Amino acid sequence: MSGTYALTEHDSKKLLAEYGVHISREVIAHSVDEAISCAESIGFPVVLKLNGPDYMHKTESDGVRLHLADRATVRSAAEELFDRPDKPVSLLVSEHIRSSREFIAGVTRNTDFGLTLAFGLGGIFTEVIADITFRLLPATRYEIRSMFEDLSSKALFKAFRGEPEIHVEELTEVLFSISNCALDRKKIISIDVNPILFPGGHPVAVDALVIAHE
Amino acid sequence: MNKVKEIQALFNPKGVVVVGASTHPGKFGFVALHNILNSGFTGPIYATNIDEASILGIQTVKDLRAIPPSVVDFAMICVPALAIPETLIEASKIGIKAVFIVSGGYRESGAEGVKAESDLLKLSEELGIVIAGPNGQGFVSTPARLCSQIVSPYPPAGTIAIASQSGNVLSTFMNLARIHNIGISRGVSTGNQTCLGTAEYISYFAEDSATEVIVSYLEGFPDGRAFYESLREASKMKPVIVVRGGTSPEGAKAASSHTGSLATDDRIFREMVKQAGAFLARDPLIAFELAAAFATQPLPAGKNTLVLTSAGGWGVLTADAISDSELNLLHLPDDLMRSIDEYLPPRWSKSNPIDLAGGETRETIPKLIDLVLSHADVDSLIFLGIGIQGNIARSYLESEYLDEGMRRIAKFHESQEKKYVSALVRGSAEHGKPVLVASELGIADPNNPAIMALRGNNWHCHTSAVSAVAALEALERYSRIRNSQYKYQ
Repeated sequence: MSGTYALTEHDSKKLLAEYGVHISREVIAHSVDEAISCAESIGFPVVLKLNGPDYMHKTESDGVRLHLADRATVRSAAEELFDRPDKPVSLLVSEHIRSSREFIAGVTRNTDFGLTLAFGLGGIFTEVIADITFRLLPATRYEIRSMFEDLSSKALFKAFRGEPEIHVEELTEVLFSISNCALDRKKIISIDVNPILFPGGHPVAVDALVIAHE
Repeated sequence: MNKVKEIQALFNPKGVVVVGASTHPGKFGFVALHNILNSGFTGPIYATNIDEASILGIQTVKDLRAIPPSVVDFAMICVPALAIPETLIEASKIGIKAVFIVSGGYRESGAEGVKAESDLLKLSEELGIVIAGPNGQGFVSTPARLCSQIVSPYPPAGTIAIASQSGNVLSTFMNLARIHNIGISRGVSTGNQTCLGTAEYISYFAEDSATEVIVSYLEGFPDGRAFYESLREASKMKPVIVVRGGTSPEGAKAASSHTGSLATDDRIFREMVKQAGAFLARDPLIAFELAAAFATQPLPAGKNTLVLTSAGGWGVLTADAISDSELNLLHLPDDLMRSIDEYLPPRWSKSNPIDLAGGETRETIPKLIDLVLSHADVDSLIFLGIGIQGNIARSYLESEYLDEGMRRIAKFHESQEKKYVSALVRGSAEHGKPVLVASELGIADPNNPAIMALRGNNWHCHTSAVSAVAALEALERYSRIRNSQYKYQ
């Protein structure tokens, strides 16, 4: 779209973190060696992702390497990514979060109703199953909390596959913070937080995309 | 101009004029005048007619200039679109504050119509006249005894207000109101909504002392946000039921985000109605069932629901519907179980639904109704099987074998039905708990003595137990919304 731009994943998350969203730990690396030392400081396993404004949909462009457990795998993955024909300048090195539950959240500007918060089931079946619910903004914490009751996947909030119950208060705060960010920054067109993962039941924004007017 | 306030002149005018009255009973200009005269409006009624003909005993005048100033404040306009600007200018000179424009020829008819409609809006603002319609079938206002529409019927007076983008859906509602004797306060066909939109009508109904329940049918929304705000504010005061036509599964346009592509209009609309504290109904008949329950029953204090039935199968279906709902099929408390034992034959079901097991031939049902409603654990009651005895009565009274013995029993059955109805009505009032009655006889046999007794009490007979459960679920949800929504911020 003309007149709009996308924040990088890293900048999108940094912005959301300013509003209180808990994000995954990550560092930008400009070389293979830097990627390895970043991975060591974050702790294995890590994830490598293409970094920069041109990579809005990294999974689709094969720009993500998951579950890199040691120096050697980080090295070969980093070499492969830096070596792409489109010559990326930097990579994002993030902690690899283990969590079997994925949810998605976002804010869009609807033509009829204005700013609208979305929350639903994430993962590869998101579009197909479309278990998603909406609230017009501003919404109270009470209204945000009531979103969970709308979803068929609310059953996943309970303890699941050895992971504890999802922390509902914290998740409410995450959605409230995303909403505040959009309400506050008038230039924002949309925010996508996809996925939100739940290590130990606590919500963490693992990827995000903010699109704004120039 | 505060449009919402000015709607007052539409629904409660001091005097009325029909512009373009006709001598021909097939024309809108005749029907409108006839309906206004026939509904009992007590203020002055004028009509204009180009030939100054006498119509339905009214001596018409040539045009609005012939009417003294400040006598009428509302005009029902049945002349073609071309003549309307001049009509409005004349109307403002004699103090008319509100008009309903029946005529089409606006937005719905192409580019010229769009222009004519925007000119109409400008003119209304210049003159300070609120316009309902154009391209609508009119409205009813029972507190004013005013039927200003070009169709029938005129519904009984009551507390349900309707703003409908389809005149036909409005008529559906009023037809149901008539057959069930569930009254209407105001009903308006919103037409093209040039000046007054659904949002304005909802805001008016929210403040309207004659209205307790609001229903809205719409097919799109010129300003979605204004609609949401009006719904939200109105829902704090009264239950609002929304029926929407023209939902499309299309994805949001030009969405570059994941959630954006899932944000379809229909999904957002559905959640928006819920967030506003209002209720979405799939079709006008379901909306009527909800509105009738809201208009006739108190809100329940909780989810515990008891079913009294002499109709076995419907008892089972009702229990299933309750289990699928947010309501709770009450597990009978021991003390209540013991008390019921005293009133019913030993073969009664011993569980909820309480199957009356033929106990209805005894005098105990009214006492049982009072007993269950007085129990603290019972929040609501659904009563099934009404009219069965009335049905027998009718078959006896219509029978070629009718003798004195049969007549006596027929009368007994009829009086039993009336007793059940009085016990239900009294029980609900005394204990402040909703009691929903369901039987297909509500539509299948409106002359059944039980159904007639319900109608006489302005009570609704839900057409199926499943729709009674849906209505009760809405009552319970509204009760919670009222209690909690604004407590947690």
